[in-house]
Amino acid sequence: MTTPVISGNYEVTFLTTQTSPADVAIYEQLASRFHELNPNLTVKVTAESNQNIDQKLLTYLTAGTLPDIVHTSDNFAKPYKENNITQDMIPFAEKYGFPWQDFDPTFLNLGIVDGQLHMLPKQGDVIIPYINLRMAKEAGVTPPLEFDPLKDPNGWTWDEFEKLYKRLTVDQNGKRGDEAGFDKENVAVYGASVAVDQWYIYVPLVLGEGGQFVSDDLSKSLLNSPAGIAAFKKLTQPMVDGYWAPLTLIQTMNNQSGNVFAAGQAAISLLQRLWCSTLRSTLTDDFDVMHFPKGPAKRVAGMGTFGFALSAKAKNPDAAWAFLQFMYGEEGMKIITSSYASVPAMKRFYDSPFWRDLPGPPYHNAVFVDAFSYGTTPPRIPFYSTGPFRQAVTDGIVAVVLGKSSVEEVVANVDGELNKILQARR
Amino acid sequence: MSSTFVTPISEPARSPSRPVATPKAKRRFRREWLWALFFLGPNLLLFLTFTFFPILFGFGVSFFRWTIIEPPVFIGIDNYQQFFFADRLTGKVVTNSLVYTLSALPVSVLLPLGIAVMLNQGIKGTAFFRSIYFLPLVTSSVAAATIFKWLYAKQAGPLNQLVGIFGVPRQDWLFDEKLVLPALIITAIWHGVPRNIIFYLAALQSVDRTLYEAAKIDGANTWQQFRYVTWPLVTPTTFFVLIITTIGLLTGAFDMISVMTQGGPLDASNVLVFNIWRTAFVNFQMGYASAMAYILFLVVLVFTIVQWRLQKRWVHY
Repeated sequence: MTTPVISGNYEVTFLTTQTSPADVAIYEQLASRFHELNPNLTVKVTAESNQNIDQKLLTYLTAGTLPDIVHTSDNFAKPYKENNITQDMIPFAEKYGFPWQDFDPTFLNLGIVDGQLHMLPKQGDVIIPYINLRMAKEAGVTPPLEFDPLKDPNGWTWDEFEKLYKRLTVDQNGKRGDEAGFDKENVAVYGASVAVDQWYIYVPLVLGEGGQFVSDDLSKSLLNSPAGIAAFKKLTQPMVDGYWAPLTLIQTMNNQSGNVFAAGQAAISLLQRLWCSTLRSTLTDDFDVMHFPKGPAKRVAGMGTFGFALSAKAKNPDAAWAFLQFMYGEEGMKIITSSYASVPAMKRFYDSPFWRDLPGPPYHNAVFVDAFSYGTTPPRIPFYSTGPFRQAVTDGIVAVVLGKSSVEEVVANVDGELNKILQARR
Repeated sequence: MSSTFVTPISEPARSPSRPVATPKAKRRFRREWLWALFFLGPNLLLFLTFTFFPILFGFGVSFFRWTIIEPPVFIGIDNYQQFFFADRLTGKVVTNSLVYTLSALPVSVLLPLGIAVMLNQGIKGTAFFRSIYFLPLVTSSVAAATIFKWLYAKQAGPLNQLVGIFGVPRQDWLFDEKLVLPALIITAIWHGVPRNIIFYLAALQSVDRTLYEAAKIDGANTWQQFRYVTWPLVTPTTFFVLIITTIGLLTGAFDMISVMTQGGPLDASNVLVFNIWRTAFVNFQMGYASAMAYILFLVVLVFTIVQWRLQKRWVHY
């Protein structure tokens, strides 16, 4: 691998959607170290809120003022390429000998569009259960922290997960969820807090039931099936029964199920790695992570990534590439993973001690990488359709929880909505 | 013989308001125009760039189907037809908007008048109460909405703890289809009242004190003084408050709803202005959202015109 040699001074502009001070500090650290190594190059880091990023991106798109390096994700790789917002990075990778094929294929393929590379995955994210160890101890349960799906593929099932979160649920009178007299209207601590309206929760549940979300050619929805209905029952019944945090509580906590866990109001939450840095600073209890439970058919967890791409409007793409190459090198990855917020997406760093050996919590870091083996990425529906589809799912779940609709009706409705979207794109 | 009936030709009469434009006057006029342009220009430029042209652009977009990513497609008045005849949400959204506005309006207009009358008494402690009542005015709407979201929380919200004292079971204020709009209305009233108090205070302070003295001499009690002296003289301010409060309620609920309910549960708190945002930036239907925005504009315009016509019956200048 060779380092780009850039003559003259240049300021690389860089856009990220990670706005927390800890994350911005990491990017500033990367920028600072890069500048030390390349005194003629500076990096200007801009952080935009992810919640508003669609609007920001629309503004940049129409104004044509994209920075040299832009945050992107699987949803945006294709539209960015089609609208000439990002450019193919393979020529740069090959020019400088960067091992771009070393990324996990699942993540890499999310950024490959028509044979071109339009996203370098920054980290590998897989949704796995986090558990509050103090609450587990008080409940007298032993969570399967040492469980290895390679050794026991049929172990740690959803039924066992159900027993666990019921046991961990406690009402205001101290009654547990699996005890007689449990008052679901007055819960003090929920067994789990789950973002039920997010694809990375409901899609894996459908697949875990043996169902399918959409057909392989993306022409029609396959959600309306016994597996789809069973999956949506798994999503809604625990909230109705008081074992999972209700949507109103999650909404009060800034619409983040992880915040309920961080506040000590839930014993388990299904989250990705980036929550580690928040939990280490806000949760006073010890916590750890475990593998995703297996559904009746298979074990599936939501997996995804986001990354960065070279803007097609970069005035000095080699300089911008130089920063990307540094970021994705060992020194850059060491800086990035030091915040506990990332798992490297490049295979050569999976076993690197610079992130594996970070002091806990969490203590079982291998789970974050081992879970890639059963991860699934989101279905590739058009990104501008994800809004109405997500609304249909959210409304459906709310309707079930409020007793307005049955699960069967909701699944049929969501299936219809998805079919409309898929037929519109043909 | 003298020609007494022959009128000599005379100069045309000069209007005193239109002096003859001498070169000096023309130069002065031009200079004044340049100064006017200098001071008004920046604001005019901003207005044209960020208000006027986007309004025109939005009107144009309303006749297209446009997702931003794909090229716009001209569809005529389809977006407007969709709103009135094809969108299953229209009825709910319009009903919610009307309920929200018409419920909050009377309290938002009359309560500030009552508070202003009390604050205008000049009794001890008035300055302290003025500070308290003006606090919502200096609070950002997003911050206020965040606090109210916590206040209304089912599990640990103070409101549920308060009503629990009276034996009322805990309510899910923001997740109950029947309670969510009243909860939002209360928040809107809390946030909107202080601004109207300021308008009324200014109006009350311009009422001639001698009128109250005269009324007292004539034997008028407190209510009669209010009814026959205060109220007629503040009706112009009341009219103004009515108009701006209505416009504010119809168009300004977005940030509160976005923070507190996102239009839910099941669109129970989805009003037109929030639906416009969601249609544009979540569903990426720019054309349809623009059409809805213009429909909202027409609603506000019609309401304002109606109120303007009705003012003759009750506003005293």
